[in-house]
Amino acid sequence: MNDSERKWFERGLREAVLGGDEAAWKALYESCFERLYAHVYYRAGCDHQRAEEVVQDTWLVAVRRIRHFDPERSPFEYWMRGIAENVLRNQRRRWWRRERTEVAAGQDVSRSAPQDALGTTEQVAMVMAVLPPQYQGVLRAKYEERLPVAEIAARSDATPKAVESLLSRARAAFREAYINLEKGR
Amino acid sequence: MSDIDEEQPLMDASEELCDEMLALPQPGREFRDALLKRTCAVVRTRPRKRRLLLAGSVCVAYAAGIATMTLWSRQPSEAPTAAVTRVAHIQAKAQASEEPEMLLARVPDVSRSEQIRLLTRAGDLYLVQRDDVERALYCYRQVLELAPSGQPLSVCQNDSWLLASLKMAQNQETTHENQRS
Repeated sequence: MNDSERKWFERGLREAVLGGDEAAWKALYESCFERLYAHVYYRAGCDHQRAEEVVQDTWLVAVRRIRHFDPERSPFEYWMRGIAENVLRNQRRRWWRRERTEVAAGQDVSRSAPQDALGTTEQVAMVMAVLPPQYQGVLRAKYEERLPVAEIAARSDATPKAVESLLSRARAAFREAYINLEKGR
Repeated sequence: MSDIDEEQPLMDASEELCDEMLALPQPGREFRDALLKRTCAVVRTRPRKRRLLLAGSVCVAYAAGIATMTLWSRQPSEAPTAAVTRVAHIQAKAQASEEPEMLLARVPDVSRSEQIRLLTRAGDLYLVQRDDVERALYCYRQVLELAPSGQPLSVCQNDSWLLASLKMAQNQETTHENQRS
């Protein structure tokens, strides 16, 4: 979908949502829920509970303020990320105050979840950092943006076969870099 | 020549590793569905709230109009009050079950002040009940004749418009005569 198509499509969905169309809202919701969650998850200290709090507040704000979404200015997903950033900022203060209170009360504030997840995230970041840019790009498009091969091909002006071949090579390079990283520890 | 592609296991392992390491962290399906349901409820009620707001605005505008008209109509008007009160009083008097002929029949047998009262009453009845100005005039003339001469006649609040006019005309005539003399 090119930019003008995207704007036309999102404008139509927005108007339908304003008119009370739940199917239109569901289409917007499903179009970026996963990527938004991942975006929030990494910024919430890789904590699922915190990520869920932020994501919930973000979507509730978005549905109430959908009238203010302007497809001309940015895609829907970027608008959602903007709301998520504001919610995160406010939530961080609350989390920090809560931890301070817990520390003052002598409670254990270490959170059980993040250590493993953070380790994995760091590993991924380190492995990706050593890969060539074209490998990073195709892996991010495939796994972070969850784009199908056809769309990656359209975006990079290549054939789907070429993208699949690039993806295979990128995966192999990723695995090799990961193994080397593990060996180096 | 082996049919086995030696690179295939490596590629599968690479894909498996990437799928594991690079897969986006996701919440449970329950959370996702519950949040969708909650946001859909907001979408669903939006047009209803808008309609309620519109209806409320119309009601407020209507009530404001009613209130304006009510306040405007409460402003007192000075001129008709006295005449309205007089007519209302006379009508109230006339509603009593009295016939002017019966009152006139009693006139010869009563005192002067009572005659004035009966004649005034009869004139009011002719004027208000029967709309007979001529007979009312007849009664009111007799009232003027019975009134003490040389003194101005007092116009009472209960006097009909005809009697009040006759009294005022009489008073003017008396004033002229006094000035001439």
